[in-house]
Amino acid sequence: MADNIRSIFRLYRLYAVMDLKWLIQDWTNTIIILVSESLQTLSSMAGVLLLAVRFGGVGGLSADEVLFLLGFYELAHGVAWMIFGNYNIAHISRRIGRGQVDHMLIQPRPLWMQLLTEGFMPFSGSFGLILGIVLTVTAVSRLHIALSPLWVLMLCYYILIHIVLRLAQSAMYGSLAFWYPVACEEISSTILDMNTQVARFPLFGLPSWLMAVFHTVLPIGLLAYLPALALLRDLGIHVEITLPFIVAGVFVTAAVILFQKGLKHYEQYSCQRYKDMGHRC
Amino acid sequence: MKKTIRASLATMKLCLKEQTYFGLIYLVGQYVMQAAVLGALIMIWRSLFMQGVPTEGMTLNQLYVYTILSTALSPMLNVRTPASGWLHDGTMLGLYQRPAGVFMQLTAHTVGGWAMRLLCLSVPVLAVSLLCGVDLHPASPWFLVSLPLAVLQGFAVDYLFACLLIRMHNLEWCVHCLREALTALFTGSLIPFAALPWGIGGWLQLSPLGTLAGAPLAVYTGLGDPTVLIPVQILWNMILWPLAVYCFAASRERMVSYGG
Repeated sequence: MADNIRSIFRLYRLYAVMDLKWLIQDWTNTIIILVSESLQTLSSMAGVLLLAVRFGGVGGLSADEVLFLLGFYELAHGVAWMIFGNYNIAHISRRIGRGQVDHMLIQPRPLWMQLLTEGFMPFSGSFGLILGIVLTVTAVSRLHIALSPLWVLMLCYYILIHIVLRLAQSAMYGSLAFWYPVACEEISSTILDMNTQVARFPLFGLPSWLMAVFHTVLPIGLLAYLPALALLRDLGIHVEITLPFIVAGVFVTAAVILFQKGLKHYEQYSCQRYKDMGHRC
Repeated sequence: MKKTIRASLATMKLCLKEQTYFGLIYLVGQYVMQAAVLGALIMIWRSLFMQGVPTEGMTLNQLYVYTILSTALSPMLNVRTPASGWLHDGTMLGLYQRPAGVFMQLTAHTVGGWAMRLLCLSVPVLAVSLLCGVDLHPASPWFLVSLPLAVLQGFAVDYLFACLLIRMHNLEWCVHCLREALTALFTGSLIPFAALPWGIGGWLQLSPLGTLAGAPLAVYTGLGDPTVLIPVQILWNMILWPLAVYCFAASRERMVSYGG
């Protein structure tokens, strides 16, 4: 156990150094990456924010509350991207569909440890996180939210739920790539893109059946909307704590079961996409 | 001329067939996801109107039609040729070895790729919308002029992004981020310019990116004035096409690909 923990931290340090070296090898590229990624993040949330400003709020939230929702989304997404964004760990179907699980199986480290550490990019992957922190702090100050240890703890809890739900969905659907490597190579990206597109919108006012779908089988509402509401208002302990925990638990269990089944299939059949000359078809 | 048309049609056919290479799950999966996002956006517009906010002339049906058409005509309103990807993986260099123009080949590939999407996503989405009672009548027949102009301009913009990629030594991810940033807000493909605050929509709709998706959708839904938007579209085409042709020719010697 202690060995595993030491190994995890050693690997985090290794990937952090590699990431820093990659980032500072060319300062021009660093600045271009920083500007382009920041612009993309700002632009993707600007639409919802501008709508809120134009209509004096949207989806039952005021403009400042929408800013908080967007800030929370960028913060949680930024943490997830920083820890799991590199080498397609968050988009695991690409690794599976391209037959790159082979590369992982021959490493002298357990697969779970590689999945936990390989995506770490604390320098090149932190722009979204920094933006998320700035937006959240701005919204908190504009809304005069009284910060307490419990509130901060809740914030951390929802960030964790966000990360778990994103990764679990990616792994659950991405496991299909074990059986259908060509057709499902991009399925994790498709799922995560859909999450990203809808999760930034306040969902208040949607029909109750759709709200139920968005908070259970397609848990987009648990990525930002419900956490933002719970951090701004009192929704009751079952909605605030129990629902996200149960949904995240179900998704993690399904992801683990499917991934293990897929891995067994992979160990028998591997990925038949490569020609002798090395090209992938 | 006849030969060029025949070659273009053959390329389109090949590209259409290529869409099925990744299998049914891939094809259906991505369209189902896009339809789900469309459904969510429509519900969000509905909830906005249910709150009773002052919409200053915009009707719910206009917003529905805007969003539905934005999804149904998405590849035409936001033209993406394979140029950027092919520059990165080396396929682009092969185009110079064929007895046809590079622009022609890229255009044929792009248009061929639209057919499957139009068939599998656009037609069902429009049919379901009609069944749900959305009034899809165009507010102006000038849409039929505005859309081709937007498509034409879209190709020019895409070739300019390809030139930018060549200049940036194949930093594909950065160009992708930059493009996503610009298209998310400035083309009006997601949110109508008329719904933006402080009158910024009025300026954006006249910009070279704003006339891509924003102009034909605004003309169709009646949220924009065709007598203003169409001349602006013509103007941008007259500026951007010569610029794209010049930049592409000037960038040719700088093309570097990874290949493989």
